[in-house]
This record gives sequence, structure tokens and C-alpha cells, in this order.
Amino acid sequence: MKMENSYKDLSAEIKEVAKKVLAEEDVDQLLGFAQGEFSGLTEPVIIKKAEQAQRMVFTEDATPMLSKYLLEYKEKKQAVVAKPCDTRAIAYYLSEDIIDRKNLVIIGINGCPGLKDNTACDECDTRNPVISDYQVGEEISSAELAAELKGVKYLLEDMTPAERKEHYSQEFARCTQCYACRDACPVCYCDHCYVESNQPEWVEEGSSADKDMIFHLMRTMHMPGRCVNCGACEMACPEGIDMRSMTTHLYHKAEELYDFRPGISPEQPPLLSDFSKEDSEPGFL
Amino acid sequence: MNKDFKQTIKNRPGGENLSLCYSCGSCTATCPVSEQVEDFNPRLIIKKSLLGFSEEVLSGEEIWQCIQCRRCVSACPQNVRFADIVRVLRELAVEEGHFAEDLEERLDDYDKEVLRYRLEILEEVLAGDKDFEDFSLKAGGD
Amino acid sequence: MPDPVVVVGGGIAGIQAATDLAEMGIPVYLIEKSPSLGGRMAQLDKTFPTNDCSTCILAPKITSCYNHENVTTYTMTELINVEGEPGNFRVRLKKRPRYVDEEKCTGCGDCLDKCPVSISDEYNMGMSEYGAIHKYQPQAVPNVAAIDASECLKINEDKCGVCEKICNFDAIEYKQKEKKFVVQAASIIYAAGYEGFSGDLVSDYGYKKHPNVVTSLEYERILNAAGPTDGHVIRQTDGEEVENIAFIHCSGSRDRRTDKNYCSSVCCTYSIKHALITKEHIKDVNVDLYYMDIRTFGKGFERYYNRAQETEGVNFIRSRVSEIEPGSNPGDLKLKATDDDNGYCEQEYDMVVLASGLEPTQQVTDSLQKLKVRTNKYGFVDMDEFNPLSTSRPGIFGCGVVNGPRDIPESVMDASGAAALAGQHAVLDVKDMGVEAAGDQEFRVTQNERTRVGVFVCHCGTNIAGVIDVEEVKEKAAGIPFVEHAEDVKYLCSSDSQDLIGERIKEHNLNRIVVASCTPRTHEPLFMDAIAEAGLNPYLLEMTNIRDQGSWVHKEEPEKATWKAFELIRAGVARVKNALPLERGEVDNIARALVVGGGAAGLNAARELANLGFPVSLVEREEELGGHATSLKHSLEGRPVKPHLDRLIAEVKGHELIDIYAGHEIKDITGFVGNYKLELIPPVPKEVRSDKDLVEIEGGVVIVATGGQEFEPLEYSYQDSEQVITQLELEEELSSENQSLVRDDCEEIYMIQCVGSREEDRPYCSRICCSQALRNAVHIKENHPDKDITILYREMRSYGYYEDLYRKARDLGINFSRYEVDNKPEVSRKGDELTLKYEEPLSGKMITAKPDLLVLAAAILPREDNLTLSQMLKTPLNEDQFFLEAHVKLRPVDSATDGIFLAGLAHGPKNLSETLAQSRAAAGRAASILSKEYLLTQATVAEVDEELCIACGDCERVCAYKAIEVNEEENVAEVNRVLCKGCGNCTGVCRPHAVDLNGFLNQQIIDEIETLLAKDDSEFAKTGGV
Repeated sequence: MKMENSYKDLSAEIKEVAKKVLAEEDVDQLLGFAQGEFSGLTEPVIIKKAEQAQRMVFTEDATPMLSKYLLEYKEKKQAVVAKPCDTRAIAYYLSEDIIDRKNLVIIGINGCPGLKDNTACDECDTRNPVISDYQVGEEISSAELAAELKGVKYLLEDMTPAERKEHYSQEFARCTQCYACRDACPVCYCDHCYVESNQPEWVEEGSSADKDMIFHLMRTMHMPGRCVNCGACEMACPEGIDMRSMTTHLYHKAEELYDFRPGISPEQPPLLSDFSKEDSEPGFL
Repeated sequence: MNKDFKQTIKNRPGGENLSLCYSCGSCTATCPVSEQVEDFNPRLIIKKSLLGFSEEVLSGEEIWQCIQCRRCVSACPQNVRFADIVRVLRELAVEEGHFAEDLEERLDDYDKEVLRYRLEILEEVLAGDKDFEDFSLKAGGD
Repeated sequence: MPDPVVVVGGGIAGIQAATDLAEMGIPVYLIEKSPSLGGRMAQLDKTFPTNDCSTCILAPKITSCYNHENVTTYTMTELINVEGEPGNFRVRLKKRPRYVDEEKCTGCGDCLDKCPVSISDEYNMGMSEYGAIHKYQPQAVPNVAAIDASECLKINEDKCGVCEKICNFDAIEYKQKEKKFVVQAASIIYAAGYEGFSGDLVSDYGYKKHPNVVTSLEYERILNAAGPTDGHVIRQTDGEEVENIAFIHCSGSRDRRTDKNYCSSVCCTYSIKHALITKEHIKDVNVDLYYMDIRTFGKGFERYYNRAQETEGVNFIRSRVSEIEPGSNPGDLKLKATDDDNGYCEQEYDMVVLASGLEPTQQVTDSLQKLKVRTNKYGFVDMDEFNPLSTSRPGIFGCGVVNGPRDIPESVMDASGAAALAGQHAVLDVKDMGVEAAGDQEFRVTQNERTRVGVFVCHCGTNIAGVIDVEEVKEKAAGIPFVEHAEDVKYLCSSDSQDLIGERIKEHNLNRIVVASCTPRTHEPLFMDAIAEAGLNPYLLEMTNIRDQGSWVHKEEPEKATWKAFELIRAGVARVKNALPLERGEVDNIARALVVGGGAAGLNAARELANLGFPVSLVEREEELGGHATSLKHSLEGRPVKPHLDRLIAEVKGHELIDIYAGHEIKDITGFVGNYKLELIPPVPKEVRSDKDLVEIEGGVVIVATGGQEFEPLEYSYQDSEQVITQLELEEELSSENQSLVRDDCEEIYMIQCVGSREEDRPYCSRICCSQALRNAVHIKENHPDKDITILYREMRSYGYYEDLYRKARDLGINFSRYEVDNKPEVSRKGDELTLKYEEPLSGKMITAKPDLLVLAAAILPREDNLTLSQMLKTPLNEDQFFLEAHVKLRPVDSATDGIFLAGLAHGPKNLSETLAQSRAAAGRAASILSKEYLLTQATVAEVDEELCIACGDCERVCAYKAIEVNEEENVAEVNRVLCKGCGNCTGVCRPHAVDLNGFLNQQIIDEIETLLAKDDSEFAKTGGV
């Protein structure tokens, strides 16, 4: 039985903490989720006044990665309601020095119950914030977490390279290069993405099986040691592509080969720009 | 081992350059006796002398096998003059009682006889009736 | 303007000296007696220990020297006499006529084939012929013909005259006269070189009787592709390829009969080179090397020897050869030698190469006499070991083999050192320097032009054309999109080809150039200069390597090699069309030298630089100056070291331009060439020391003279017996005031060589131990004739004149016995008694001795802190942890990093005299940088597009040179153009591709790859069979 806090309880706590933060911390804005005014959908909101905190919720539909929105306004002092995966993304940003810790107030969700239909949540190895200033919900202990993860295999773990290639060819055939996956991904934050370059033209214009694959392969090559396995890419894809089979494959590989998980701490040097002589070299003889 | 052996040789006329040897092997390479007799090795005789194995060097028959052709003297790049050293070793060998006093003289006489024989055979061969094979050189031959 | 210096001799030594002086801003007259620069090195096929092609590494040096604005070259010119004194010499010269006008001749070669006379080709050692009118060598500099007057029909008999009729440039001058003239010079460098021993020096080797017995220089020509046999190792008698070849070491050297008892120092290593290169030519050939001792004592040479030993078909036979007789078949040779087991042995070979030694030419001997320069008994310049490179005549300096047998790196060191000394007479005005050529040149603006690529395909003689169909490649290349002009040329690197490229650029308005030839490592600067001369930005060039990556590796598949060459050119065109013009930047240069290390090397380098007029800061971690030299009693020639060392220290201390920081340690080193900063920790006790005490010094260059250390032996009871000491400890005992050996009761002394050297974890030779042991043994024996001394050695490496020392030692009765590395002497101790047991290899006898004193020749180790220092300086160490030079042959004192120079033991084992010579060389090289007002940065550096950069810092983390860093305030990464080496790490790691690498732009590489991967339907592709 998966230990988790209930959405209802979490929502209640969040309302309280948010009010407190807005009143006491000198933040310019607070990022969180709220129930839509006219629809029942859960939507991301930016609130500036304590009264507005009344609307705040956390539900199984709270899909967007709020951590990413932080980068839009990084000069401001911001508070954010952060799922554990959000906190890992934030820790990663700090390790790359692209946002100032002093400008952040992090409200972390303990024992995160996860999102509906997000396969990443099924294999989530975090569940508690790695960095936070305030917490809501009850922590899940590491023993409980280990028990939950026992026997969980990650996607395609057992496939041969040939089988994986077959899988990718089938799935990604549906891609239309809408870039929703990129836009949703918290660690894809380049001001000017390579896919938009035309000098040189890294990815040729138009959509075809080859060209789409180039886009995804290049993006995936930026993932090792950075992807935090949040599943936002897959949730965002309008074609329902099994996105994580490619992106988070490398998340698991980094752990397997280098005992490395990104976003564990703000001091951790990024995987691909750091090395030790003892590193395994599976690609080399 | 007799450490003074080296100096004893060097003190005798002809033996002065013994220790100049650097074991290059030119003497052995050029020596016609070495070519025929596996155990005759001028370089090794010098080495043993330098090391002080006086007993072995002086009591062996090798030093008498040298035919004093002096090819070693011209082949040696350090002017060691092995042929002269052989004569010194023979002197010492006799002094130590390993060989008879008159052996050197008798050997010289025999060499002269062999030389006379060679000249006779040569004359006949050059005269045209016979060839070298006709004169057997085996012991007990012509 | 400084006064000029005359350099006599246009071989590698003369060229290096001339270049160094010219770079200091000093005008040079370079005198060469033959029609071309190059000397002996130009006759070599390959050089040890890298097996680099000799001409390939030499030619760029010749060209840059010849083209230097401060060098005036006179070929066909000899030194007659010198009058005057240092600072004011009058040098009389005689320029012999070459009967060809040097200004008009273009080196086209039309006349060469037409000459009806055939004369012996001196460059090919007389093994081939050329005409009376000829070019001295295929890559002659200047590229001008010359006529041998004694053989010319026109000059002698007024007949023929064909060459004049054929010449399109009116360059033939039958009536040319010799010219005598005088130049003024401040000082003179004598670098007139040597000749190899004549083949019949040792008549027993039958050189005159047996045509298949050749000398080593002749063999170099046989191996060489431009030689008399086109590089085929075939016999003179029947043209058959050799299957069984022998090399005879010490042919004439180490021999009292020839009056040349010295060791020629290079023959062992070059014979190994010959063996390895012969194996490259002929896979199954059997090579036997007959030697006495293998003297591979130079840096990297022991590994070279090990490699040869492991090569199948290469055999080392420890025996001299007494004579060579005819073999069983015609032309074959029988060698008489010995083998360790059976004594006499004989062996037959197809060809025999005599490893002939080096001696001064008669002309050199006569010249030196006329110059009143004292020579030694062998005719070489007599050198004071404490004042190397100076001669007995002040103002005249010797470098290269005129000083004694030595190899190329040593000659180059001599040359740079001689330049440092000669320069002192030329009165440099340090404040008034400023020599910088490039950077001021204006180039044609190609921005809005249609892309017009010129493709030039090189034959490289037969090196490329022997395998690849160059004509076909050229024709197909003409059809590649954007190619405006394609041409094939015999030797693109020759100076007339350079002009040709320039002409084509102008004719066809070319704005991108592809040169398909050898590796850019040899000639890229040359071709860049060539197109710059024609007004085209030099970075609009792409070299494609169709030699190393084409004809050399695909020798067996000429069709595929040809196809590959075409593909590489296609890719090269795709790449170069995207190239952009680039510029070098300027950076300030601090005119001060920083010398790290106050031993003999550091002191000497400091003194010479100061004498040249440059301020020096000298840092030494100990309070006392002098380093290891203070432990030496006498030099290798037996002269006391202390007075000379004391004088050197006094000169340095008293020099107004030298600041000494004794007792200071280095905390950190930052910066780059022209701008180094050292942070020093002064000798203040740690407890009271604060950051304010730190001393900062700045300079333009750093000279690393940090020395080495002695290995502490773990074998032979060294650790637990007072009676076992090292040679250095012996010297210390000897240098104490006690005249007799400290241990009076020592009757029997043993010395063991190679302790710690030449082993698996240290496969290098410590170079000085053999001569040092000999010197110490001789010293003891001379003073105490009754003491019995035995030296156990593996090879006796008493190279050069130290061979005389070896003979002296033997004459005194010092014993020598060899031991094998896998059968080392055993030493045991019981109380005060040492027992030494070893197997003497010749006799096979086990010798037991009870030495009173055992002296070990311990290895010379690199200092333990070399790694730390190398990281601070950002300059690498070699595999043995000594500092690595930029090029083992031609840049032996330059480290791999610009602005850092090496001297002394920090570079590798060497003796005191060699250290003094090398430190002078470091001073000479450093002076060529210090004398420049400002330095230029590399153009092929990384560049950041600020709009794309997200300041993630990946580039900073992966840069090995600290050349790119994130500027926190601006939130963008910035490149330091001086530090950037253009390695491309940052370019590869950048996710938004904000960093690009000039000269290797992403667009260039993308186009190149897409071109290579694109489907190619041409017929050409079909023959490629891929």
C-alpha cells in the first residue's frame, strides 16, 4: 500500500503555509496551483496577496512543473509550491548557478501522492523534497520508500538495443515536432533552443521520421545527469508518445554507471562536465 | 681467484696492455684457431686472466694452441696484443710447473718443420703435377 | 640597431642559431659553403626516436630562417679569415660562383635534364648522378641550380651551352666570378658540421672491395624515397631486395687503430633507427646488429631500444666484427664475429651497413686553425666544460658537431646557447625592441565574393604519387561544386610551389584553398604564409592529409587510396567553403625572465639573460644557491667544481639585473606567455606568516630549472649497511677536505651501475652514471693504486670523449664485468661483512667477493613536486615525469607550453657541462620572446555568441586551460584568447551551441560530415568499392 498524503489534506496545509509566506516573507510572488474559476481544472497560478491563497489546491491533475516558471522571473524573489521532483529541478538550477537561492522560498510537498496517469510517479524515487524552506504533508521514510520501489523496473530496462530501437521507431513516428515536451521539461531552459537555429541548421525544417528523431536524440543527449524523471514531457505530449522511454532511460543509466542522480544537492557538479579516473567507460574497450 | 695475476702479467714485457681489453671479441673473431677449435677463445682467456683464474688459464692446453699468427694484434681496436700475452702466459705456465721448460722451444721447432712441409707441398702443387688433396695431412700420413 | 652576427654553417645548428638571433632582433649573416641550406640533417631519411621524416621537420625551419627579415643568407660562401676582436670583427668571405643568377633562376628545372654531363651526386653520397648543372638536393633552399665548373663543357671547352639556350629566365651566367667580401660582425658562431668516417677507415671491412658494404649516410640515402634507389632497400650489385642485413656498430669509433678512440655517440641509436625503418620497408627482413655496448643514453632512447628488442626479426649480437669477406653467393658478405657461447662464429648477409662515426672535415680543421680556435686531439673545437659553447677565441662560439659528436637535439641546444652568448656582443637595446611581422597585414575582403575554391594536390615526390593516382584525383576534384581551379604539383612545399599558389589565387580570384598533401603538422604554417603573401587571409585554408591517411596507410590498395583521397578533398571543400577569415590579437609582453631554481642550470640561465640586458627574477627554495652541483667534487674531466660554481654564484649575486629570492617557495603560478605571475612564500615561519607577506613577481617567460633528485636504492643492502653508498655520496666523501678516501681500510671496492635505471618502472637511462663512476674510480685508483676496484655494468655508456676515460680506467687496472638485468648481483650483509655474488657472463663463472665498499650508481629521478609545478604552469610532464619538451628533436628546451623553457635535470638526466649548455639555450630561446614588444594570440580560438549563452557553466568546467569562464555579472561566458588552445571541449559541450570554435566552425563540420555521408553516384565511388 503506497503511503501518501491525501490531496485534501495537502491542499488545506498549502493554503495555510501560502498565507503565512505571503504575509511574512518578503516575496514578490508565489507560484502554486488553484482550481479554475470557470472550469474544474487545476491550473497554475501566480498570487501576490495573502487573500488569494484561499483558492490554492493540490490535486492529481497538477501537471505543470512550477519550478520551470521560476526561471521566467528569476530576478524576482519568489515562493513556490514544489513537488519533490520540482525541488530536484531547483537543486539542479542551483548547481548550474542560474538562479539565486536567496530569491527562493520553497514550499516542499512531503510524501507526494503523485499525479494521475504519470508513469514517472509510479517509479518515483524521491517523494520528499531535497531542498525546502517549508514543508507540507508527512514525510515518507526511506525504509518505506525502499519497500515501495522494490521490484520496480524502469521502462525498457530489459530490452535489447535492437528492441529499444524498434520501440522508439514506433512511438516517435507520431511526433509532429510541436515541442511541447521541450516546453514542459524543467531542465530545458535555453533562451534560444538549438532546434530554432538556422546557422547552423541543427535540425532541418519540417517533420519526418528522420528529422523528428534527430530532434529527440539531440534533446535526449542533453538529458544525462540533468533529467529529474518528472514525467512532464510525457504528460505534455499531444500524441501520447511514450516519451520517458527515451529521456528517463538515461536518468537510470546515469545512476547505474556513475551512481549519479541529478538535483540531489545544489553543490553536486553536473555529470557531463565532471569526471574521475575511476569512472566506468562502457563505450570504450 | 688470484687477484694479483693480472698485475703479474702486466709486469712482464708483452703483457702491459692486458687490462685495456674491453671484451669486444675481435681477437676471437679473427683467430684462425678459434675458427677450428671451439674451446680456443682469446677473449675468454683474457677475461679469465683479468678475473684471476690463474690455475685454469696456466694449466690448460689452450695457450699452446695459438699459432702466433698475430691476426689478433691487428684486429684489436685497443692494442691489447693478445699474441704477446700468450707468450707471457706460456712463460708463467712453465714457471708454475704446469708444463716442461723446453715445451716452447720444441713447439717452435715443430712449427718450423710444419712450415717447411707446407712450403714443399706448395712447391709441388704449383709445379702442376699434384693437388693439395694428394698430400694427406692425417696423423701417420705421408 | 644591434650589431650583426655571422653564423658559419647552414645545417640545423646554424639555422637554429641564426633564427634565435634574428628573433632577438639581431641581423644575421648565414654562411653556407654548399649551394643549399640543410646540411647533414637534410640527408637523413628519418630521425630517432620518433621516426619523423627528417626533411619534414627540417624544411619549415629552413624556410622560416631563410625568409626571416633579419637573416641574409650567402650560399656557395666560405669563411676565409677573421680579424679584430669581439664587438668588432672583420670577417672575410669568399662566395664561389654558381654560374647561375640567384635572382633570376626560378628553380623550374628545365635545364637539369638537358645536361649531357653526368657527375657524382654528392647529396646522395655518390650513389647516383646528376648533371654538371644540378640542384644540390630536391628541396634546395634557395631553389636555384648550380654548375660544377670543373665538369661543365661550356666553361671548360666552350662547347654545349644547352642550359643557357633552354633557360626561359636568362639565368645562366657562364662568366660568373667568385666574389670576395668583408662583413662586420660583433661575434661569430661556428657551426660548420662534420662528415661521416669514410667507409674504408677500417680496411678490414672491405668497403672498397665489396659494393654491398655501405656507410650509414649512404644507407640513409638508400632508405629515403628521394634517394638513388627511390627508397627501395636493394643491393647495388644486382638490384635485389635485401632479406638479411647486418649493422656494424663502432665502425672506426672506439678504436685506437684509427686514432679515433672517442665514441661517436649517435651511431647506436641511429643503427636502431635503421633497423626499425628497414623493417618498415621490408616486413620479413632479418636485421642483425653487431655492437659492444648499446649507447642509448638520450631522452626517450632507452624506450626506443626496448622497442627494437621486442621487434621480431631484429637481433642484437654483442660482438665486434673483425673482418668482412666475400660470402658464398655473388655480392653476399660473410662477417666474422663471436657469440657468447661458442666463441668464433660467422654469418652471411646480403648487405652490411657500417655505423660510421662523426669527424670534422678537413676544411673545418683548417678553418679552425686559421681562426686560431684551439682544437682537441680529435680536431673538434676544444671546449671548456665549465664554459661550453665558448671557444678559446673570445667572440667566437661553436655549436653542433664541431664541438664533438652529438645528436640533433644537442646541436639545437648548442645553437640556441651560442645565440645567447653571441648576442651579448651584439649590444641589444632591450628598450628599443619590437619585432612583429604578422598582424599588420591587410587582406583582401572576400565577404561578398562568390565562393571560389582552389584545390592543389601534391605528389610529394613518390610519397603520395607512388600509391595515389594524383592526376585522376585532380581531374575529379575540378568537378566538385565550388571548385574554381584544381592543379597537381610535384612538391607543394617547395618555394616555387608557394609562389605558384599565390599566382593561381590572383589569376582565378580564389578565396578558399584546399591543399591535399601531407599532415598539417609539418606544413600548415608554410601554406598559410603562402596564401597570405597573395593577399588572402591565411585561415581560409584547409589541408587534407592524403599522405599519412592515404598513401602511407593504404599502400597495398592504390585504387581505394585514390578514391579516399578524392573523398577527403570533397569533404575538405565542403569544410573550407564555410571558413571565415580570422585575425590574431595582440597582448602585452613583460620583459622580465622568471627563473625557477637556483642550481647550476637556473644560475647560468639567469646570468646569460642578464648579460643580454634582460632583468631576471630568480627563485630558489633553499637559502643557499647551487643545488646539486654543490655536492660534486670534480667534473667529468677531473677538474674541481667548487671554484667555478662559486664564481657563477658570485656573478649572479652581484649582477644588478638579477633579483634573487632565496628561501622562497612557490605558492601559485598564474598567467600565460608574456604575462606570468608567481606568488612566493617568503622564509617567514608559518606561525607568524600572513597573506601580506606573500611576494608577487611578474615576467614574460618562465624557465624551469628545478633539478632532479637521486633515487634511494632498495636493493644491494643499501638501506641497512654503511658500506653501501651511492656515487653522489661517494663524491660528497671525496669532496670533504680529507684527501685520501675517508675509509682508509677500503682495499676492495665494487661499483654497480644502472641501479634503478633501465628497469620496468623506470625505462630510461640516467646518462651520467657511467662517466661519473669512471671518473670516481679513476680518481681513487690514481691516488691509491693498491686499491682493487671493479665496476659491474650492463652497458658501458661512456659516450663522446668519455670513452678515453674508460680506456684510462682500464689502463689503470680497474676491473670491468658485465651483468644481465635478469641476473643481478646478489649482495648480503652479515655484521660488517658484505658479500657480493654475481655471474660473469663471458666465463659463466660465479664470482664471490667481499668488498669493503660498494658504490651504487643510483638513478636520477624527476623531483616529486614536478607534478604540482606542472599543473601550476599548465605544462605537461612526459611518461617518466620529467618536463616534456615541445619537440624531442627540434625544440628541446621549449616546453610544450609557450613561454616556458626547460633547463637541467628538470628536463632529464644530464651532466654539469650539458646542463650549462642547455641553460644557455633556454636563455637564448627566452630572449627571443622577451625581446618582443608585444605578442600575438592564436586566431583559432573559441568564441561565444552572447545571445545564445545561458551561462550554465559547462564550458568553464570542461576547459583544461582555464580559458573560458562565466562572467557572473554579465551572465555570459567569456573566452581568454591568449590561454585558449582551440581544443573544442567547450564547443562540444555547449547545449544551445553558443560557443563555436574559429577555424573549426560547427557549420564547417556539419557540411563536411554531410558531404561524406551523402550518396555519391560518381564512377569514382564505384572503384572505391565501398
